[in-house]
Amino acid sequence: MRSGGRWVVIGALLLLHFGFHPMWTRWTVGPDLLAGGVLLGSLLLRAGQAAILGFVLGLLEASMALGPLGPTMLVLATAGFAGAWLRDIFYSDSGRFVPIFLFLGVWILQIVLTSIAGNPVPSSLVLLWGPGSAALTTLVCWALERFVEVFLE
Amino acid sequence: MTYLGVPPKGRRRTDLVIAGVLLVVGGLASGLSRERQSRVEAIVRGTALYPFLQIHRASAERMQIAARASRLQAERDSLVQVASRYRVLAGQALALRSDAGLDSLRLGSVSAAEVYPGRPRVGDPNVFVLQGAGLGDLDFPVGVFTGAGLVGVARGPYGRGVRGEFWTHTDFRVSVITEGLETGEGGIRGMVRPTRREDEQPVLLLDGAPFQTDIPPGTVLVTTGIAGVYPPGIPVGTVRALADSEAGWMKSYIVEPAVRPEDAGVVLVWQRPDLPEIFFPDPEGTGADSLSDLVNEPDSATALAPGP
Repeated sequence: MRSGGRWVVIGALLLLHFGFHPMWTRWTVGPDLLAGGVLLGSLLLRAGQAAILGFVLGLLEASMALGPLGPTMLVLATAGFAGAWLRDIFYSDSGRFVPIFLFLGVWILQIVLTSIAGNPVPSSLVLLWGPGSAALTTLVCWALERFVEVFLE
Repeated sequence: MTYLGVPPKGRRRTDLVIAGVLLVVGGLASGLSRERQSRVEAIVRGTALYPFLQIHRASAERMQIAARASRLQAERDSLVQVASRYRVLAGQALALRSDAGLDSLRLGSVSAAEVYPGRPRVGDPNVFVLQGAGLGDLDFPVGVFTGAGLVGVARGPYGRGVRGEFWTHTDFRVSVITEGLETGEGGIRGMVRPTRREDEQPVLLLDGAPFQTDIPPGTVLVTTGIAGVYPPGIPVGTVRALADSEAGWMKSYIVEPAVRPEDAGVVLVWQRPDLPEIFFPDPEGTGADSLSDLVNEPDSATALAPGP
């Protein structure tokens, strides 16, 4: 997929995330489109730029959710930086890389973001909701990418 | 080069510098006080997030309008019933106060506001932001309630609005008295705080009820109004069951809250009345005979801090 198309996907993910924020947070298992946007962005940007993207999105997310400001910004900035760094190490032309990268990244981010917000992290989140949410996020990202590929590219 | 391959070494250094700067800024942001964080959040919510928040508001109103109308109708009917019952009592109280040479009751006023709760999981669901007209001159902390009962407490300004905490917040405390359960002293008093068992919805816990008196399930607890944070007579919850006996001289009760946070869409924020000048007897013979005199007398053992 071209990088222009992927930016369209990232924009759509972020618009959907902030536009329907109350709905996503009400569901126990729902797609984490913000994490998807940060991780997809980290595939397109240099590590520093990806960290800035995560940092700004962390500020927006904490302000929207009334969560902890500094930790949320730091976690998402770290996710962006680490994503770009891992891409440099692992990236291959394999079509499987992006889904696996998204799935694992979202799963880890879900656990970390829940724990820094001061909310309990039950084992059901780690083993059930986390993977479910990560799978849904990956599915939504994949569907959006296919949509953009077919209709816009 | 952004997409594939390894970036040049100079860029790597730049990336590390950027990451370091962000780490410092993020660390500083983590150390900000709640008030300062609120200021930053309020700016972001008032600018970049403003269109999204307007969408949320519009969609929530659209979805809830039918349910809210029927709920308001029911609330109005019950309030008419209560008001008609107490109108006579209010008249009597005014007449008695007038006969006794006392001022009329200072009940304060209320301002309506919309609630924006913190999000579960990624945010703090125990806090909220209020938006509405007439929230500018509040004297914090101050009670927040609906027609059904107490919702929480407003803690401070938040941009043009107010930030506060639901009763589910760990810092929440309110002094209560039983309604309709008269004892020799006019009702059983205690302190209510939130409690939460794992995988259960939070409830309230009444602490400090006297051991020798039983509070039957179904008894309504209302605010006492002591300390002036909450207006008196606001329903807090209904006693559900005995929770514990403490040290053989006090009891705790599980209390079902009158209002759950998810049910609070539009709330009332109390604007407490100006406190009257309080006169004290002069047991020490200091010559101080009013609150302002006592406050201005630092050595006096009976000096009180001003404000509620």
